[in-house]
Amino acid sequence: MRLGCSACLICIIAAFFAGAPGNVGAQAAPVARATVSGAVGVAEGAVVALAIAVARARFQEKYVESAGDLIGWNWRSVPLLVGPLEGITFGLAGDAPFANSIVGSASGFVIGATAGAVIGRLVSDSPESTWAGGIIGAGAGITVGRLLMGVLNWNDDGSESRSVPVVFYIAI
Amino acid sequence: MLPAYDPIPQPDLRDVESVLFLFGDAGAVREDDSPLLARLKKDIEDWSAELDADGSVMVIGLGDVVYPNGVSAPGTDAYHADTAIAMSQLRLVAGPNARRRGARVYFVAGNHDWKDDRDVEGFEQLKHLDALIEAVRARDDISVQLVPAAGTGGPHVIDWGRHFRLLLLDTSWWILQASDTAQTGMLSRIDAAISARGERDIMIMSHHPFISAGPHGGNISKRSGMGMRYPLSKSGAILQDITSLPYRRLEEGLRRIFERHEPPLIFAGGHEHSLQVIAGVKPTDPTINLVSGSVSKLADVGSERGMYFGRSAPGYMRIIVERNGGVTIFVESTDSDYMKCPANENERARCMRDGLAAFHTVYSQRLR
Repeated sequence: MRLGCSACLICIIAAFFAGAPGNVGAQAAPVARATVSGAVGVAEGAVVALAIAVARARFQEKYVESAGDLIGWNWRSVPLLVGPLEGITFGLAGDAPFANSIVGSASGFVIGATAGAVIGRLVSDSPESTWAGGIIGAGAGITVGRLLMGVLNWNDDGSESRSVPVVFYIAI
Repeated sequence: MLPAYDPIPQPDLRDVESVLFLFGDAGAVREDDSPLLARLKKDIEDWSAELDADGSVMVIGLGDVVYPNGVSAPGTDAYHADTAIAMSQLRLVAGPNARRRGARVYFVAGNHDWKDDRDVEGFEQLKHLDALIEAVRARDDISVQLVPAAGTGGPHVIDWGRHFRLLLLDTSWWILQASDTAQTGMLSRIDAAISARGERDIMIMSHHPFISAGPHGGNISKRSGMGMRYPLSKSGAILQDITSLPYRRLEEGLRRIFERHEPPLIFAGGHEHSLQVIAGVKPTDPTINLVSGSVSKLADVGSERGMYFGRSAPGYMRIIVERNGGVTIFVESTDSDYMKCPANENERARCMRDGLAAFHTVYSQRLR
């Protein structure tokens, strides 16, 4: 879960700087936004690649031999390429899709991992089931959360009242 | 923190009924570059000379005879090198005393002997090893055998001495090849073999260990594999980990059998490239779990409940059974520098000599 925790932390920090009202980060240059968002995309891609590998193992009994299978040049590593590309796209699209897609990632990750772990625990007593549920849930949550929040805010004009979630006003 | 231990002296030779050696994962070294194989062969010779009953010395090779893909087909480029590696292990009982006293080596297949393959190619690869062993047995008149027979899960049952029944399983077959029906059949045969054991205690040997504090048991660095190895292992997504679904099914099946009868005294495996001694803590755990898979490769050892001993170093184990049924295990090991000696002839000769001399007992425990 270290990777997931790191991804979550990056998302929250990036979202903080990108979305805080009146913050300099709100006017971040497209290149800076794309870099941050691309980095979050790397973490997202890793979580999704893991989730796919775990889901295939648990539901289809198609296993990986090592972590290297997810990193090498094969279809399993596609999320590791798509994640950063998606992140860069949201970063270049504007402040609102940038900030909201990252918030979507973070919240999707947390909600998905929690729900998945709970379901995994309910369906089986084995410790692997809880982990598998958490990872699959995290992969689904981070994907849905990021795409949903990014796309829904795609044409946002970037005004603070619409692009920054209420939760961030409270936190700051 | 592992518990302190008091070294156990070697039992009086007059009291010893039989000796069992356990080694595993030797598929990357040969007898001319491995001090361990030389030392093991000497140990087998010495014990064969000392014990007065024929067949008292037995050796179990716990799988992964040849890395990385088992024995290739005869006529291929890799066959010669693969054969040289396998022969180094087959010749462990080729010394004069071992031959005279009928010392035996039984090999169980490891996942690499199956080429890690879930299709027919894996079975074909294992048949090459089986054919080689059969040819050597017929040609050189030494007692070597692949058990259970290639492509069957077993158990291969050996009644050893007066006190023990050994069940040898092909857990790689279970994980890579076995259908649901075949798995059920194997569990039924294990159940029957344990039911019919009489007064004997049970020892189970297979490539995969029952409990492990190594990477295949989920004890791995969180940074391993760019942080991905850890969650993959914890979620059972790596087939050769004992956390994978197929292995968990085997474990569940065995636990049900152990619940009906009683757990075995010893469950020994290789697969992990380390030396481990772990006491069972649950009612259906084997009493003692041994891991001896560090002949030619090393991997980290973490911690596990009930762990008495763990070391990432080249080594093998010796189990001594006394006439009164007493059982003592000895772990023989050396420094990792002597895992594989260099190719240069002078350096290799020195390394082999020093490595041989550097072996010593690093752990011993009386089980009863």
